[in-house]
Amino acid sequence: MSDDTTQLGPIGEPVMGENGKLRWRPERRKNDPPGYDPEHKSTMADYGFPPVPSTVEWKTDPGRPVIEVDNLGIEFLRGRKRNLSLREIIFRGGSAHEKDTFWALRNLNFTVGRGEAVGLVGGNGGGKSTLLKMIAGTLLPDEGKATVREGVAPLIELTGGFIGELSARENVYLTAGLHGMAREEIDARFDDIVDFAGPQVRAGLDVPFRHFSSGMQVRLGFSVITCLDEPIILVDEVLAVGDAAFREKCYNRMENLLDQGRTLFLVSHSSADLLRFCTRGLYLNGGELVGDGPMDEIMDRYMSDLLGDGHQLPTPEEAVDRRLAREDAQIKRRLKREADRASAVSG
Amino acid sequence: MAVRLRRIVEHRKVLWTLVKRDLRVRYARSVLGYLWTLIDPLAMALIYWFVFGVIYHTNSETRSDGAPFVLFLVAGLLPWNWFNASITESARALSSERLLVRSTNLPRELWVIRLVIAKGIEFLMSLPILFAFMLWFRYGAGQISIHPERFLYWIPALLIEFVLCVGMGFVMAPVTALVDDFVRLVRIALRMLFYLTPIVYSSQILADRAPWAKHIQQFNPLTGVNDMFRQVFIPHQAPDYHAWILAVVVSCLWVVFGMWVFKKLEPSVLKEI
Repeated sequence: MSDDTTQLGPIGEPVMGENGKLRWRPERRKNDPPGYDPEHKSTMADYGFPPVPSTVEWKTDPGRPVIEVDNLGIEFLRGRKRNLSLREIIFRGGSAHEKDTFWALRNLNFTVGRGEAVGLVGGNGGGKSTLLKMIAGTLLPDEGKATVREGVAPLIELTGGFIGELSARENVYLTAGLHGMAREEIDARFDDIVDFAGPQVRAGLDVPFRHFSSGMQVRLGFSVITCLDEPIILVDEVLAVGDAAFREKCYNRMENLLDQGRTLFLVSHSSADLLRFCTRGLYLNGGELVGDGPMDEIMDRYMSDLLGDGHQLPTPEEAVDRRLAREDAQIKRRLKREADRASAVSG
Repeated sequence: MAVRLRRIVEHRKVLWTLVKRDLRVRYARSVLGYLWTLIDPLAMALIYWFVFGVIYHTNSETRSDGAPFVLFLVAGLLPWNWFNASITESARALSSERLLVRSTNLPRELWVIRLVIAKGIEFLMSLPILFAFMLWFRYGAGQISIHPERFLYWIPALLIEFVLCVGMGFVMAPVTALVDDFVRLVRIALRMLFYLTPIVYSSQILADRAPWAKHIQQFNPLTGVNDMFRQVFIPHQAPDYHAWILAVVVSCLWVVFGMWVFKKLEPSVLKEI
């Protein structure tokens, strides 16, 4: 039992906080997952969930960072389109004349280990997506380097690989193949991929992809990429796809992947998503890393920077309560997933 | 450069996926799919045959190295089509696939190579035209004899042209992504190059009438390539070994230069697309 709950006294009794408001307490509901035990256990550690088996093959030793960002910097031109002379770009290395550029990111240093769930926050133009693309390897740094030692499943531009003329089936094979999956692997997982995308997608497997609704296209895209067996998952604002039901399914799958000990890198403007998935927060401002710490603290700092007086920081009591409530919700979801996994194994 | 080459080789499976994708897209929509691959060069051959074979008709043996003009023309036109399509389309190789380029961490060279291979396969599939003409002139008209052992020359010819297209594509793709009007320049250059390649005339006739131009033409790798393709049916012309060697050297230089340019421009291109 953790100290926070013991302070609060036995479950079921309301506890008054310093400001005269009731403090948060776990409570039992009708549809609690099996094994939920707030009377005796209050943290993830109390429950001691077993490691979830996964098919991920790690290339690095445990304990070594999987992402290492070293003095990273990238420079962009200010104007969207430029008048370039051939001579200038080819021999750019030699010529050093003044250009109107700005550093979208500079002097970035951090490492990410196995199984960490990192959330990236920052205002528009802060360089979040740029950083994610550099980790994905689709942008190259002008300074320093980003070393990524494991395979990456990028949930960026989800439907980018799909071709409207081809059928959904062909598109699945192509996109998965482009991300390095072998034909046999795709065969083995094809049903999983399509099942996840939903019955409408299965019904339309052999019609040209452009006849799919945009929601269905994104669902299939999400489904394919999350079926890649890569240890690192990069997400750029695409967690919330489809309708509410599918969104919950996506969240569930993300959490399943996290249960397996994969590393997550999430860019989002949704504080709910960030707090739900991430334990560590990185705060980018003006292209520099200004904060690196627990997600909720980073989130509060970012929000108060962003909104100024419009954002009221939680009192220490409130912060504790929110953390407890979040953890309680996480425990419930994990218990639910454990039950799902158990029933999947028993068939 | 060795690192980049190794990464490309490591991703050869993806390369085939991309090639298949290209071909499938090309043939998915139209019922006539494959027929277009045949009709297109045939129509071009018809035009050039009419202009240069009928209107500017000369009876000189040297104009087509002693082979029937149509056959000589087709054997030059098909490889040219491959080259032309590779160069013009590699201009858009990165920008037309920008969504994929932005979301997958593949060696970016693959986007060019896959295009050259796909166009090369289309070229191979258009070869029945050439075979049909050869058979006709051999057995129908009886004007030529075929030397089957010389089909071996086609292997280096294919390799050289592949290397050349890839090398030039490596320059085309990033430069056009950065400089808009580069494509126009290239289109003009291609049109000039068409007439600097022995397609509608033989290099022999060029040597007779404009010896200085012949020296320039020797540096055009397609001169050697076309000569290799034509050896199968050309009656009494010795292979132009000088052009062959230059074709190898120039093509290899293009690849080295192309990889250098590609590497140099890659970071800026990724920011731009």
